[in-house]
Amino acid sequence: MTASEARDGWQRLHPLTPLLKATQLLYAVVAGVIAVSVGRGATVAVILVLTIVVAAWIILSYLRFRYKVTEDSLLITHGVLFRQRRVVPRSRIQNVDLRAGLLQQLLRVTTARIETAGGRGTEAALHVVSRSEGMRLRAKLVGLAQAAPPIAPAAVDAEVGETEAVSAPPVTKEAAVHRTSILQLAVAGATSHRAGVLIGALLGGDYLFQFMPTERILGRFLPPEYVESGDAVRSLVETAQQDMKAFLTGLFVLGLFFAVAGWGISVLGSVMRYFDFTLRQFGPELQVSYGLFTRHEKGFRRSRVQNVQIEEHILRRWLKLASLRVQTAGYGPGMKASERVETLAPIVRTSDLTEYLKAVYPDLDWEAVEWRPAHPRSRRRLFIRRAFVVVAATIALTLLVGLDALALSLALVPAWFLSNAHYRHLGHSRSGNFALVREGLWTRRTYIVPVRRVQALHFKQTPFQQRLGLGTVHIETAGNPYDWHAPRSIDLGAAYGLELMERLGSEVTATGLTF
Amino acid sequence: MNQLHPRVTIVWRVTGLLAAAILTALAGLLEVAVLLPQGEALIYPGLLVGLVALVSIALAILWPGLRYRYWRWLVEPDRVLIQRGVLWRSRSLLPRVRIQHVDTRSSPLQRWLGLATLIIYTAGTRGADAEIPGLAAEQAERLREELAQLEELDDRV
Repeated sequence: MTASEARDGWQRLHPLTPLLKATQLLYAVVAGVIAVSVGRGATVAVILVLTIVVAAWIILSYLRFRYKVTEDSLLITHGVLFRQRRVVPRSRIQNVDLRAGLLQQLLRVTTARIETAGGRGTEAALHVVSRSEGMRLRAKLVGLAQAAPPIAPAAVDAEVGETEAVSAPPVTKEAAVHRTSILQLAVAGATSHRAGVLIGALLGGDYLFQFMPTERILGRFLPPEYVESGDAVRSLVETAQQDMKAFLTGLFVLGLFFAVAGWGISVLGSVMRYFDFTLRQFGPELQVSYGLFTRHEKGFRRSRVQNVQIEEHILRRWLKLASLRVQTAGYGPGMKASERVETLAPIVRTSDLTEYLKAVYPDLDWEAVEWRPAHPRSRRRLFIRRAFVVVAATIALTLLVGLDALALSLALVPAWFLSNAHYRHLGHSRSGNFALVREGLWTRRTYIVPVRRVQALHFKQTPFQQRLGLGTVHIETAGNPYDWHAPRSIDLGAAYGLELMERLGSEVTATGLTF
Repeated sequence: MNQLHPRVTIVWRVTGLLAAAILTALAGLLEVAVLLPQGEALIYPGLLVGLVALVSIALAILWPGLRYRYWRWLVEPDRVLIQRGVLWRSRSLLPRVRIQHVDTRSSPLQRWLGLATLIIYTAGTRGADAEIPGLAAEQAERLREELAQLEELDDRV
């Protein structure tokens, strides 16, 4: 390995590291710009001195950073002023993520992040190592660490392979591969929440800043005398008063244009983000790789998965599509929400879910899961909650506008139907060693939690639930990424919910210590 | 199930009164600094401050009593139960096999009253849910020792 200067097994980062950290020199420039007010000489001096200091810092920290993989842990020593030494026990490592931006991809290097259970964020980051070294690290640290410490052949690059793979005994691992095609990714983009948001953002943004070619489109479909330059809304209003047909055509075409543009960006974004999404399964080890510009490669052990989340929002439900995410304990609360869950399938046909779930939970019989509904009184609660909003809005508007606003109370009818639909999407189930809960009308989320991963259980009642004799059971797992609440089963009968919690509790006890 | 030590209501009342004082001060600041200079002729000067003070002080004195009445805890051989909440009620079940570590903590006021808080951590990140605030100090110590003995538990399971 050219990259690392081996000294008793201690290795340096990739020699390009200082180069990639050179962006830090910008601090010097920023400070220089601030110093401009003092005078030219001061500016030059500040930039010069700071550049040298920062460059020295970058190089020193590169020289001082060393790591070593031993039988049972990853050791890191670093620090320019304060020397630090960190030991990350291999048995505690949840996952190793490799992430390479465009420049890093071109240089064939990558950033390796090592996550453990507990801790608020990334435990150790190796920025940067060569791609092959990253693969080797991942294989050594995650790949069946306990069973077979040597490198898994599948993850060894050709160059490293010559020197290291020789010593590795052939580990028989069968790779099951799930790929997501570009077409599927396009569908994912087209059906994502983001599409709608983007269309809205484009509309709003264009109204304020006029960056879309709305003029040209309007000029073609509206009579030119009504087109006001730079004001699509005025033009449309003007036309509507004079020429209904032209107005409708213009509106339709404009609407179509924005929809296509917003959708296009969403599709493009999704394809770029999840480009060549591949899920590989080597027995108990899962590897996910994706991304066009920023390439992500993540690996984790199946046994470390805390829970699985199936997300289906309404559009995707109609198309029988879903997305699938897993949560491993490695991702701490200090990380961004999007980093705390790992995508297992950006989009998947619901009929293929079984196959994907098999990769994570081989002993889960997804097709045989029988959902139990929430307590029937839940319908009443869900309706009253919506009705309250309708009634309040009606009263407020009636006071403001007059009796005509009473018509708003007709919204109680759709509210009733929505509540019933909402109720139908609530459910919970037990299947083998798993607890399953689901909820959500617009976006239905189904959580699958292995009983041995349950950390704590809560039974919660709002005042209104107390009146109706209902309650919600929350199932807490490690490193829970969901900001608002744990996976939960809403509106169970109070006695039943408490009993369910007690039963789950004793089953958790029966699984014994897990950490 | 066990109730907390009755003296915990004193802790709650003191912290509540402190919060009430801060709230009242803020209301006073609002009235003097924002409403008066705007030339708004306050019909009843001091009404806002008075109301805020009245409500917050009443709550600070009365609420802890209710809170105390609904607080229950129980340490069993295989689990810990915590039940609480006046309006929003919750009951938590922490399996002993999932308890990572246990702390006791006491503020100066708690120490003066001979109380301590027992904090139970699981790997679930909302670990803050597992706190038993008003225990007699020696009892909290004892529970901490007892809960920390996991090896024994492992043999039994």
